[in-house]
Amino acid sequence: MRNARFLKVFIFSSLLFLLAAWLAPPETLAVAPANAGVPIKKIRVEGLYSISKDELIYLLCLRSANVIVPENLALGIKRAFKKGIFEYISVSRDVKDPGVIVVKVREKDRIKDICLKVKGGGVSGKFLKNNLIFKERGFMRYGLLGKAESDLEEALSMAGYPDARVVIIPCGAAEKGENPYRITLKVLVDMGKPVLIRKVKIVGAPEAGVRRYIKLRAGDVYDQYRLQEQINALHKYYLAQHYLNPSVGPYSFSNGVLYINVVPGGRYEAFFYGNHVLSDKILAALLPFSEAGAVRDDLIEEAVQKIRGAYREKGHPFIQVAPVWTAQDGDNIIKFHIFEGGKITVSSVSFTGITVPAGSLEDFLVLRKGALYNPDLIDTDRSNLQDFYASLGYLDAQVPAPAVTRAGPDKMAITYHITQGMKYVIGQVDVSGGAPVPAAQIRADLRLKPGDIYNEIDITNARYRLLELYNDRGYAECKVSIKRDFSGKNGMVKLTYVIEPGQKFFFGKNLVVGNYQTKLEAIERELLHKQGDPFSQKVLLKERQKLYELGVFRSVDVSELPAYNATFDTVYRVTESKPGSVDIGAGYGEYEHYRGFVGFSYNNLFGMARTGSINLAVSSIEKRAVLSYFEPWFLGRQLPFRATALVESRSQLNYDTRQVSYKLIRYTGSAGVEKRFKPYLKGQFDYEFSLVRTYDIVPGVVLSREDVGTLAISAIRPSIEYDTRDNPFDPRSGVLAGATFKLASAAFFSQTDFLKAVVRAARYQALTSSLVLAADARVGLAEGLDGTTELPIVERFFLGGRDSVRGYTQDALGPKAPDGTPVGGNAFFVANLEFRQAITKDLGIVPFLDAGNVWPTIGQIRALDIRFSTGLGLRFKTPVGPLRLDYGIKLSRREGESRSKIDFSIGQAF
Amino acid sequence: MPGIKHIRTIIAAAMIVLAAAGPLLAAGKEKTRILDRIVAFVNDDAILLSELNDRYELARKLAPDITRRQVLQTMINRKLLLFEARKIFPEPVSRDQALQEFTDLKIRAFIRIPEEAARNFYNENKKELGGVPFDSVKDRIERLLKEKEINRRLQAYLETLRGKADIKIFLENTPAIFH
Repeated sequence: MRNARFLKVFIFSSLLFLLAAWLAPPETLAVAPANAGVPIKKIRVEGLYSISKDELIYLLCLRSANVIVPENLALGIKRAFKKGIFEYISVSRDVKDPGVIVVKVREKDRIKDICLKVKGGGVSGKFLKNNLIFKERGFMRYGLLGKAESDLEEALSMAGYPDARVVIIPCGAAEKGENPYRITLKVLVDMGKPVLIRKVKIVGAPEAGVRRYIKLRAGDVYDQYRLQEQINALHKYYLAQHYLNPSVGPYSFSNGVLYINVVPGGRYEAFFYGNHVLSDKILAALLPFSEAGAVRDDLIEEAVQKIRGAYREKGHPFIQVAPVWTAQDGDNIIKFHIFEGGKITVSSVSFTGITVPAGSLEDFLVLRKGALYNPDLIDTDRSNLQDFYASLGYLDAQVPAPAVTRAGPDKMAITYHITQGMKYVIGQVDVSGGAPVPAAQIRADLRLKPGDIYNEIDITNARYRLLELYNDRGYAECKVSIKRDFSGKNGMVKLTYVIEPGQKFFFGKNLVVGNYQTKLEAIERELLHKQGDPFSQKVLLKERQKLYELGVFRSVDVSELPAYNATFDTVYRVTESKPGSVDIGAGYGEYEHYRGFVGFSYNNLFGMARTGSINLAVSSIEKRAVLSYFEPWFLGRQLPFRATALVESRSQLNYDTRQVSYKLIRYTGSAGVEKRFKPYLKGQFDYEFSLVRTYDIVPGVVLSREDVGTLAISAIRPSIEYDTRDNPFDPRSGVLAGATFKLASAAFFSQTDFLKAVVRAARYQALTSSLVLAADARVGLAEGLDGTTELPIVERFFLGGRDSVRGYTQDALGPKAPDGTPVGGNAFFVANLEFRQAITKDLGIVPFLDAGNVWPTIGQIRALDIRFSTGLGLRFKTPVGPLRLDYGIKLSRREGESRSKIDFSIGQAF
Repeated sequence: MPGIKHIRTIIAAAMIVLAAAGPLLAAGKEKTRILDRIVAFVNDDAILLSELNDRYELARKLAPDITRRQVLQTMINRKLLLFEARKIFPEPVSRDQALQEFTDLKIRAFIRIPEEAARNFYNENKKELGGVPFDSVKDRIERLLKEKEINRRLQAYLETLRGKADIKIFLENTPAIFH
């Protein structure tokens, strides 16, 4: 009884609680007065996981000690929302302590993975995922759940499963402790029974030919995607067979029978007679009948014109084409009788009425002396001459159609009668409305002065330079117009550039979107502007370039939000590329025999665009492991830093006998920084420490005490590089030059002392659109210091093989031990010359000439010792540089040496 | 056991007082006051409470019975249409002009009122029209029917756009921030 009374009280109090809770107002729809004048004392953020609190506060424009301005707060919330990760943001003020601002956010749920559960079979997981509007790592859009389900059901129906039912269930937050805004999408698919084809009926065409393409058979699932592919293939086949307007489909499906309407329509066949210069295949490709789906008189005339045009391009201006068309039962036969006429060239081009040198005019012509005569190009040449005269200030020049006369059985002479008219010159250049940019700066950027030839291109370019000048200073809406006054005497023109600078704009806040792995700091430090700087599109372009160069983004899009208070907020929308990569390779070499490598690299360590990699290589004579680390900003400055650790175990073999000459184990650690002085000039400074153990040495290979036992080499390595190549992987123009020095000294606790220097210079020059001349020369000199006479074997120079003097075995040039093993030297010279000729888009041939040798010491260098080789290489372009196959022949072969050698590699030789 | 009975009575009374007073006290003592917040988003555009309130005040002057939700729906529709309009009429064309030209191009241009429909409307509403001849009200009827058709098609078009857009509304309640 008592318990019953207690229960009643409990129920009553619970109801009262619910009533009170119901009566309590929801989160208000009223905006509290924000400018109570209370400065921000503290900012509390709730619900934030994916970005830092600082970034959110920066975007919201909340700053300690500042008073909140409602307009700025609204802008801030909108700006933060544009970040793309939030679905809700509220900013409120603590009632008790108005200085405390509370920011509540709810991030959008992201799909961690999509889990498919399929009852019944028939379609692949890839098909289901491709037809799902939600994607892994994308944001969840709950409002589209129903649409996603019905879209997928529709796709399955098209694939032959009309009874398929789809249920998509977003499954809660991730495991405890993880970001709660990650969900798993469970996609439950009940495929139901498939619709099977009982029979396929082809209507309108013989079945035999059609069934080569329409492959769906009785018993197959009625898959309309597959059917459509087959219909397209059949349509393509009909077109290739010269059917004029083939119709494949529509199709229908009833009671298990698939009806497909196929009407191939009429055909045409074309025959060519009398053609020798152009083949039937080339001429057939010019015919418009397939495209038009008909044969008509006007289309035959079009075909004749096209054939004539093709012949004229080949220098046959007197080409005649006579078509004969016969049609029967929808089939057409068109016979083209061709009278090619002679091949005509231009014997001479002359001019009358000119004061400029005739040679300079002829440079602008297509139909010049020796060219194939094509009357279709005369108007192009007239237009070129007119433009040339305009660029010289002859604005009124008249270039009428030239006189063309026969100068022989296969020659034409062309004469232009030109009226030059008055030459116009700039008499005065004025600027109006230039403030606030200093007049001197405007004049400097104009680059026009009285006395200059009146050239419309120069005058327009000057306008663009002025626009750029103002735009770079924040005047994004600047207008520049040009007034031309031709009323001056003797062709003197007065130019006035009218400048309307408009409002000055400034950079506002930066909003980075899409950096889910990359930290904001890694992006912001690449930016070239500060908040409050004059707004400039040029700066944005440079920033975009810098962000690309980080190597962690697949795409970078930079834009600005609509202006407020003469300020542009900038949006950097990035798409991150996959940071990890694995490289695996295997091969076989003449010297190494089997070889293989595996490499792992990650180019966005800690979200800071740092790169770490490990590469392992193994062959029958070598095992090597290299661990590398790259930091683009060292000590907070844009000073790229590299560190490398290497462990290597190698056996040097005699090339002929394959006996081991010596074995070597090396441990090397190096670290250094790189400084870019100009876009094309950089310097590098490294420190390197190596422990080298050489053992099992054949006596003749030993040159010094350093060649035996364990040796510590401690060295510094400064270098400088000048690089203006257009493409480092396959250059067509530019210069690559540089010098590298290596100093090992007891001062750095080295057990050996020496100085090495390697200097190189390479030049690349495109001679034609398909031919590049490449030349390279390298010199290396080394000298022992403080009692060291011979350098340790790992520091000596070696030459010969695929990247130096081809035709010779790898490292085989220069001094050798009594057993024939190369022992390297203290000096080398190598020079290479290549003519890189493209044959097709991806294939090229390279005749080459190589020269070089290695000498024991600097004093023993003899020019007559230089060894030469020549040969021919093949190049096949790939995304990582050309695949290279070189056949080298020794030109200064010595007794016992092979005649030639084939080398295979990736990348150009230099 | 009178002691126990007494204790139970005290506990029950305390529960009633706490249950009644707790939430009401909490309701009266809100911890924070909103300065501004998101009330809805359409794709990557947010609508703020301050914007909604400004629009609501303006709308109330024209239609006193209008609700905040109705105003918000209008704002969402406008954003959806503007998003499509900007694909054809980008800046610097003004928003209003872009919307006007877009609806003209996408909807108005395809609407033709056949004379038969106007005549049917005339016959059905002859009494309300005061028995004036058809020819004298034909233009007005056509305009009216055209506007009706535009509204119908616009609603249908907006429904299509809504089906493709990512829209969420937080008008009364804030979302749960933590799962």
